[in-house]
Amino acid sequence: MITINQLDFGYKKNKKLFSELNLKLEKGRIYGLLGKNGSGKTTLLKQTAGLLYPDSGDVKLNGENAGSRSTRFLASYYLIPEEFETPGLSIRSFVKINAPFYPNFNEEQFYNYLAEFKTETDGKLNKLSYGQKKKVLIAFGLAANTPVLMSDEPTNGLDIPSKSMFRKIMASGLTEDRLFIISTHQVKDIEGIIDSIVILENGKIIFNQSLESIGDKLCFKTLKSLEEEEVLYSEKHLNTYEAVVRRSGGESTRINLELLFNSIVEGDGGVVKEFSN
Amino acid sequence: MVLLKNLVIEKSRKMENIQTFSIKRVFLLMQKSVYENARYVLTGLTTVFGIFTIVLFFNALHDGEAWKNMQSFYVIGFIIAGLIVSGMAFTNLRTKEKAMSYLSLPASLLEKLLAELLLTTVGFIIMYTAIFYVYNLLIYLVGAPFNLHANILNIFTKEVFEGYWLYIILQSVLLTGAATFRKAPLFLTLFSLFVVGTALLIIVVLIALSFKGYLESSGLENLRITDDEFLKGENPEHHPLVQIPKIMFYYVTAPLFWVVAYFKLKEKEV
Repeated sequence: MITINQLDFGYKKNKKLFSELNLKLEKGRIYGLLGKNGSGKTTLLKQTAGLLYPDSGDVKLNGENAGSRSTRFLASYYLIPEEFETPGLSIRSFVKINAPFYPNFNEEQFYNYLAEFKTETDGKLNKLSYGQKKKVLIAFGLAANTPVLMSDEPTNGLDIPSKSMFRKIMASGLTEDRLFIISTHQVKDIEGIIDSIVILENGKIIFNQSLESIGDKLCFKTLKSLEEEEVLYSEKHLNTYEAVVRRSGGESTRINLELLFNSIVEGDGGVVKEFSN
Repeated sequence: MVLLKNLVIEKSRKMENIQTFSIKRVFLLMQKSVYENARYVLTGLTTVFGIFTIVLFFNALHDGEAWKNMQSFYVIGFIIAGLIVSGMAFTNLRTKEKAMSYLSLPASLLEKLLAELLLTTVGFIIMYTAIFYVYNLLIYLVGAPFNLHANILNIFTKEVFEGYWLYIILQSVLLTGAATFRKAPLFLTLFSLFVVGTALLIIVVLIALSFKGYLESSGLENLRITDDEFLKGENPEHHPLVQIPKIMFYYVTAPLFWVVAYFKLKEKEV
């Protein structure tokens, strides 16, 4: 559904952010695009949305070239940006002027999502709090029913109950013909909803795996001693170690996203090597 | 399960039916722009008509002559309101956040440009003229009991239509400026016009001076473009040397700037 082929891009001519970047994302999945601050997550989303032009290579969404910015391409996705400005209009007016551009927009769904988020539908959009505005955009993005929904740091500004509601709503909004990308550096916020992980580091995709394949190869354990298992990465806590170990036998553990992320970004490459064959 | 499958098929059918160009989308974009900028434009128009009312009030205390010249009010208001509306063009490109939302809105660049163009030219002319006529009628009715005879504006004159056309030309330049400059586009466009105009003037003067030298050295220092021998009895206004630049100015300038605005919009990145 999304194909990025040999993408080269840099904000400055002599400083490349992406060099020969390749990525393929399939429909029916929720991808967690993870990376540290400044790793290029937002830029990658902008490239996918056709808001930036590549220096070379191409980005395709549903077969449509991102650089074309054609109506069909733009109607294929909805982007919930991290920073946004909302007009001084009521939510109803906002829907009235924006929804007709999305052929599969479902107004009933939109108001249902807002109700689930416990967001008021009266009053002006620009008078709402940042978190409330974000909920309106998330509800709109989901109700737009675009094949691709991209969100950049969607949980920023959401309170704890809203974060868990966000996870629930996102998971319920996914259908077999849709693809969601959630870009974040707050790994814990998307635990339990994503089914694939893409990690971006210094402009390179260093990890792109589904949770099934991660579960097939790794286990996440709390150990008293590192000699107990075949440890690929560990973090020392007070008297124990949080460890990523090679999976042996039929055991399976809950994936600790934060630990996995750290093992890939901060580790010695042992975890990544497990997936290289 | 079957229902879900049908829903997926229906959704993908709707996606495939999206047309490359749709006049309905142009109107939707215009509607969106009106909704988002209505308050700004209405404030501007209220100020303009408020100033008219104050001027007419004080003039009524003096000699009431201004009441007979609604045409002048119309033209002055047209220029001021035109500049306000120009400031409204592509307001969605002014900040990074707004530009992201605008550029990712499912409509083609041509549709987005056409919507801004129609709104700031035809839309503005119709709206301003309609409001002015209502105002004119009110002034007429209010003035009559006090022996103040306001005339009723007649827009169906050659001068008014020429004025509209000149406005459309100016608007094409301002539209290009709005698509080019993120901050203070009106000021920067007018400033750029001034700089380019001055540069052109200097070039023309330099060419003229060098020609003067050439003509003098060739013994043709007394040749004038208006000489009968040169024009062969033709009206200077009809001479190709006058006609060609005039036609170019009237019919080429605006489309040229619209094309430039399109490409400026196309190259926008956020």
